[in-house]
Amino acid sequence: MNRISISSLFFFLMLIQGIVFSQPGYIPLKDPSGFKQRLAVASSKVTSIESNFIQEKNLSVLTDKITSKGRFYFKKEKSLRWEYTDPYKYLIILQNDKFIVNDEGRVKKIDIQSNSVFREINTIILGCVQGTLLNDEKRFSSLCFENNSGYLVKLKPLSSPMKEVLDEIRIFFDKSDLTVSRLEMQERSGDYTNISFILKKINQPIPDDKFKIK
Amino acid sequence: MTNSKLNRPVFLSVLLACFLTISAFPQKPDFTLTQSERWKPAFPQAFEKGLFKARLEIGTQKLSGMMFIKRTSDTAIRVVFTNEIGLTFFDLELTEQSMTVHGIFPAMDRKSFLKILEKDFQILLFKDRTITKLVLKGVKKKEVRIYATHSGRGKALYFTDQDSHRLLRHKSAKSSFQRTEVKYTWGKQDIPSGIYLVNPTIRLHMYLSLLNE
Repeated sequence: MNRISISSLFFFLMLIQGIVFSQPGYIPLKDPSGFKQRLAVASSKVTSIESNFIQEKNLSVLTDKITSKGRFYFKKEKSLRWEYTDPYKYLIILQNDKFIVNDEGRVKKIDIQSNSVFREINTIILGCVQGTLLNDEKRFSSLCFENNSGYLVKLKPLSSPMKEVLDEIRIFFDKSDLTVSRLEMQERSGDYTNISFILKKINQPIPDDKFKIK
Repeated sequence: MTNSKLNRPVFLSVLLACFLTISAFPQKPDFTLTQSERWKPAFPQAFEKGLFKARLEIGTQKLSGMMFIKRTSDTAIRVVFTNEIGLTFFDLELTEQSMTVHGIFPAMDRKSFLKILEKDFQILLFKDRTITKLVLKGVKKKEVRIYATHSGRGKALYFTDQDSHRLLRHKSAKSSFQRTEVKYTWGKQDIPSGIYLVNPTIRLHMYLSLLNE
């Protein structure tokens, strides 16, 4: 129920998760452990990511989509900026064990160490950055697939509260650089949210100012 | 004198007919029509859909995201509230008399909470067709007309713009269980550009701001 915790929890999952609701042409990966090792190595070489994103919320019964757009920044070790610019402005920054949310001028700061929920989120973030989340068998069961151009990882949440809300998370990786190109969160209600990362820049300098609320 | 005597029975018959006609329908004047003449509902029958930036505060809990409101039939309106990344908080389908829950975040899935939410959304989305008494209570600043009503929803006050007939505020009586108050702001469209709903019973505050104006 906590607005920041729920939003942030799933928001940070997106850092490493690309989900494909229905991806034809994918076959089970013969060597998933080898893939996970390659992913961990590739993740260790990433020092920064900058990308645009398009988010589409698909409602199971209605034909309408709710579309949002924005900009995503990540910088090792723990700096992250997730910025919605359309249809409204909303900003989440992770910096030095603190979450900062700016909702059109309403700024909130949360100390991760003093909040168990945010400590868990922090653990997930580190798992993402270090490429170890796919090996987190306490939180997720995983299945790996591939086609000609990419890898697909399907994660099933094993623990609450994620398990009560999400049926599956699907991460779609580019085969060329093993970065996330798309993700989809499949809810138990049948709704799903698709997030595409476009115009990615890997290991390009990002000013520290990007991770501060001015 | 002769003509007058001849016409007396006719006059009395007409008077009696009028009396009987009025007496036959003493409690059922067409107040729906009367309301329509005095103010437009916030979401008219022609409304199709609208996307709002939304913030809900329930006690100490604070939720934010987007609220998508769409008419799904002549009698039903769907309300979907998601957080910023698209996760559904609730997905409700409302009519004037009922609410179907298509999806709800587990922590919000409480019968009493949903019942209050149902009544509040019905106040917000649908014209009250159960009004049995409507009087002009007063005029404020020569622009705002205040109507007092009795209806199946209880007693309420409606504040309306005298010129545009737009609804500015709805306030349920303090004695009502559903002590809901709604304030509306208007832009260019036929639905409100801003809505603030407060229900002190569950300390609910809902702020909606139209995004696709």
